[in-house]
Order: sequence, then structure tokens, then C-alpha cells
Amino acid sequence: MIEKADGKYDDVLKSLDTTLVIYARDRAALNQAARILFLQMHYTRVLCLRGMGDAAGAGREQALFRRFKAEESAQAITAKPCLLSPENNNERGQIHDRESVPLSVRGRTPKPALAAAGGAQ
Amino acid sequence: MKRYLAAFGVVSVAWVAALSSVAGSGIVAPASIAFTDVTAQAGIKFVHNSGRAGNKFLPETLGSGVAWFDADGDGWADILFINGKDWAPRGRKSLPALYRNNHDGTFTDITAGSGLDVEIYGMGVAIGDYDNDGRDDVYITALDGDRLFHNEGHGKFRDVTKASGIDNASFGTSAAWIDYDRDGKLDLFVANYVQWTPKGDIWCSLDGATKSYCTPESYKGTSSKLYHNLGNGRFEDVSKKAGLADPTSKSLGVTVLDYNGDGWPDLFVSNDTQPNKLYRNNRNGTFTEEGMAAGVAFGEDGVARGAMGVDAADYDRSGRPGLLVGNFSNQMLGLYHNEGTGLFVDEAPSSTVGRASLLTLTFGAFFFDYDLDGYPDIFAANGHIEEQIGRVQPKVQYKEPPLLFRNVGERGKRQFENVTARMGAAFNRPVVARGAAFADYDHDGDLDIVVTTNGGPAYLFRNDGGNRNNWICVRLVGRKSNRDGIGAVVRIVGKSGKQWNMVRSGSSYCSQSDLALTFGLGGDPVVEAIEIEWPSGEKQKLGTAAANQFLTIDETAGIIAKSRPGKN
Repeated sequence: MIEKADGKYDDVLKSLDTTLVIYARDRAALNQAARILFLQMHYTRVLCLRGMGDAAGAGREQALFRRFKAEESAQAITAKPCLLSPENNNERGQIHDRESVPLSVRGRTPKPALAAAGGAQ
Repeated sequence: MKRYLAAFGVVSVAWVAALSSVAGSGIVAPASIAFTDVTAQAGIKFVHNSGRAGNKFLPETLGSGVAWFDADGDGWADILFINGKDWAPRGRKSLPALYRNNHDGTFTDITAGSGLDVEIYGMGVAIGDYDNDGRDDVYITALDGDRLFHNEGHGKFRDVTKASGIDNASFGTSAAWIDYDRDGKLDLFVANYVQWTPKGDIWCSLDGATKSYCTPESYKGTSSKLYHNLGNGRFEDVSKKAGLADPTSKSLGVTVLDYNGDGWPDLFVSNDTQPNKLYRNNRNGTFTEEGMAAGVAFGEDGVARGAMGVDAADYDRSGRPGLLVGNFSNQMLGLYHNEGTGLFVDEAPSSTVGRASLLTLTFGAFFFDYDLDGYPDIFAANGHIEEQIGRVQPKVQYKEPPLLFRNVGERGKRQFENVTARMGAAFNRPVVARGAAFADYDHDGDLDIVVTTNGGPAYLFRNDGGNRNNWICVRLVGRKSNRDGIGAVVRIVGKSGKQWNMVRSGSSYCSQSDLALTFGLGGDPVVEAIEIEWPSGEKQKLGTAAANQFLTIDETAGIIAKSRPGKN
């Protein structure tokens, strides 16, 4: 991810390949590789071509970018399952500690965190 | 192509910031400037109440904002702190706090009886004289319904929300007054966040066992609002008609800019985990969304970021406004350079700004010329949303120091240096910052900062030493245009070049800086010309003016008041 932040995409892909040799189905590695190969490449080309005044080329790349791009609002439909399942919600979160999930949590219904507060609305 | 590949990060570029060179002779080196924490000696005791009581409700992480404005009409910047409240009564009252400037570096809490002493779950604030009566009015975004307060004079306010026709209880965050149709009356844009209620609060977790604060992906977005000022104190919701309604947006910030230089105000709206929006003003009451085409919707990897506070300024004297966007941790600031072709290039990834801000979560963010060298610098107020974040991401902390980037100011080079560490120990104290705004509260010419923290105290940082360079401060009085001159462009011509800024409401996060424009002049002892383009279309050209003074400029009468530092 450091290489990615630095824009060294060839190096990132090499590192991800190393990971995938060992863990062929690693979701995070596959996701990052796909992002770089499809999503990021198309997005970068959109901006480059637009910067050079090639509107047609930029439009073509933009269509491809939109095709591969995740729908940002899609996760909202997971709200109800997330309410019911702490494990799934934990995996969904951008920030989580996968290793520290205690086994005892499995199958446990979360304690409702929704207090009986009158709330603001 | 190579230039753009480099700019977008496909080719690694090392941008080495110059550490001390200053363009132009006579400009004071920045090492002599510090921000001193004067909160206690100024008499400011405000502490924000997020309402947290163990439930980890989403809104608890987001408040609140702060505004600098002249509440009582004495010509000095007062402070309004926005507050949250307890979810269920706990025997205490949490009110916003209005502090009157005593003209001697201290403030007096005049909240009681001001009319602003209402208990609401407040988030943000925007200041503007919507009825052109010469007194600045207050709009407060609040979870339980936004409020519009009319300034009655002498520090007194009246809640006119119902009579105004404004009805927004949609998790409003940042807001900005904007005369989008240039009819002389200020309209209002309100950024709304997500659909949230206490009963619908989602159970998020860092470790799968205990509840943590959620990021907003699981919540549905909600449309921001544009209210058209009909006159007579009434507003109409024109969000759909204007093309601004977007139920997928999760908006936290708004800045007004004229990015295409057509003289009409456009809007940039930052969204949390959704693409940012750039609304181009069509000059007919409608807007067209251009964020994707302009390259400001996403980070450089084509993924929507967690965007918070925003601002716009011509930071490289190109004549075009660039954009500053505060983002989530591990996403760095966005520093979008306006190429002048409708395209912006994010320069942060290849600059000091990006590298230094990678780990921080920035809420309040703005451009301001703290060293008065004539080039806008960058301030970022940081703090994470989750207290336990350091447990799972050791490099990211809940409390974070702010960031101050000095614009090295060599034309065309666009280099910033991180000068945070030089600003003193108090300034570098890690806090959970949210709102941030600037003003010259002590009338010494340089710009001071107020920062709010989530569930904690506010901080007032006095700029000591910034005024060793020359400056000029311009406050506008509109006649055909709106009274505050919001949307007016002021151009300053000096020996060391031209610079400009636009009077704007909103920007940063949930906050409002002073509407007066301060221009750093470096070593220039005189301003050769001041040109003003008013929203009415009126163009005004004024002659020379000595540096180091405050000017009040009327749209028809020209300069109507002058004063020197420290004077009433």
C-alpha cells in the first residue's frame, strides 16, 4: 500500500503477485490488483486524456471506469444485515481487527446498542 | 501525456520542498511566527458536548463548528461556538456559546439572553446578512432541525426558522450563503449527511465484539438543499429545480468558488465515501454536476474518499481557484490544482502536503495567508472519529496535532513546506479537532485561528509575528449586491504582483471564517490598485492605498472607513 500511495503501480503489482503465490485467494490482494489493473488504470487515463484535450478518448475511458467502478451507495442495502450480524459487519468495515475477533462471538446476536434514548429525531 | 501521468502519480515524482527560501526581498522568514494558545487568557471556556453516553451514536463523532463574525456591529470579530446536547436529559443544559470581543484580546460570554441560547444538537454554522439590513445573521445546522436566527442588533438574535420557510432536519453539517442567481439576495446551500435516527443506528465494531463508531457506508445518503431567497425573509427549497438534489450524497463540506471564471459562483461539495460533487452554475438558476469530468470526485485511484472540510483559493497565483479537501485517515489531503480547462489535478500525492497528511483524519481545513507573504498557506484540523483506532492501526491516533503548510510562494512552483513543528508546543498538542476558522480578532493585521474539538474544549491560537510582513484587510459593503459582498472578487495589485480572493461564506468544516479579506503584501509598503468585481456586475477600481490598514469599501461610495491596527 506504501508503493501504491507513491504511485509505483508496477511495484505494487509485483508485491501483490508475491502475496497471491502464497495465498492465491486472498481477497484483499485480489481486490487491490483488480483495482489497479482495471479501475485505477481507466480513471488515470480519463484524467490524462482530458488533460490533453482528448474528449472522445476520455469519454471512452470514463465509460469503462464507470463499468468497473464499485457503486458507492450499494453498501447501504447491507444496513439491516449489519444490524443483525456483528461478524459480517466487522468484515465489512474499512477499519477492523480481523484477528482479534473472539470465537465466542460467532453466532451471538449483538446486544442492542440502541439505547432507549429519546434521540434527536 | 507525460506531464499528466506524472501529475496523477503514475510516474513517481519526488517533490522536494524548499525549506527556507522566500521570494522577494524584505519578506520576514516564517521561523519568527508562532501560534500561541491564548484560550484561557482570552476568557474562552467553551467545551463541546457530543452527548456521548456509551451508545456510540454516529452524530457524536462529528460536532461541531465555529464562526467568526461581528455579532454586535462594533467592527470586531466575535465567536459563536456550536454545541451538541445529551441524547436523554442528564440534568444539564448544553448551549451554543456567543463570545463578544472586548477589543483587548479577551472575550465575554454573552450567550444568555442573546436568542442563540437554545439547546439543539448543533453541527455547523454559516454567517450572512440575508435581509441586507447591515447585520450578519446566523444559520445553524442541527440534527433536530436547522435554525435561522435574524440579527436584531446589539448581540441579540431572533429565531425566524419557521417564518423563513426553511425546513431541514436532514443531518445538516456545513452550510454556505451564496447569491447563486446574483439578484442581490443571499441564498443558502446546506450540506446534509446521511439518513440516521437513534433507532436505526448500526452496530459497528473494530473487534467484532464491542460497538464502535461507524463509517457511513451502511447508511443511506440524503440530498443537500439549496434555498432560494425570495425576499421578505422567505426562502424556497429549489434543490430539485436547480439540479442539486442527489439522495446518494453524504455531504460534510461545501465551498463556493468560481472555478471556470465566468463570474458566477459554483459549488464544490465534499462527500464522505461518496464521490465529491462540483456543481457548475449554468447562470439560469440551475447547476450541472461536473465532479467526475473535473477530476475532483475521487482520489487519484478512482475511489471515493471520506471527504470532510473544504476550501478554495488561488494558491499559486494562476488566477484560478484550486481546492483543498480534508479526508479520512490513510487518504491524505486533496490539493486540487485548477488547470483552467475544467480539469483539476490532485497535487497532494506528489507533494509535502500529501505525505504529511496521509495518516491524519482532517475535518476543518482552509487556505489562509498566516505569514502575510501574499501566498495562501494551508491549515488542517485533525482528529479521528474512533477512540480505539490506535489499537487496530497503531500509526493512526484518535487525538492528532493539526497541520500547517507554508506556501513557499514561488510563482509556478506550487511548493508547500510543513511548518507545524515550528508553531509552538500548544499548537502541536494532539486533539480531536473538528471545526476551524480564522479571523484577525485582535486587529493586529495577521490571522488567528479558532479550533473546536469533539467532546472537548475549544482553542484560540493567536498569530504572533505574522504581521511583520505588510498586509491590507478589505471588508465590503454591498448596495446593489448583497450587503456582505459575498461572491465579490477583490483583486490587489502590488509591486510584487497581483493576487485576488473571493468573499465567501462556508468552507472549512461546519465553520465560518471572517468575511473580511486579508491580503499579505510581503515587503510591499503600498497597494497600487484595488479592483472589485461585485456580484451585481459592478466593477470598481480604487487607487493606491498604504499597507497595514483595514479598509471598508462600499459598492457605490468606495472607501468609507479606514483604520489602523488596534484601533476601534
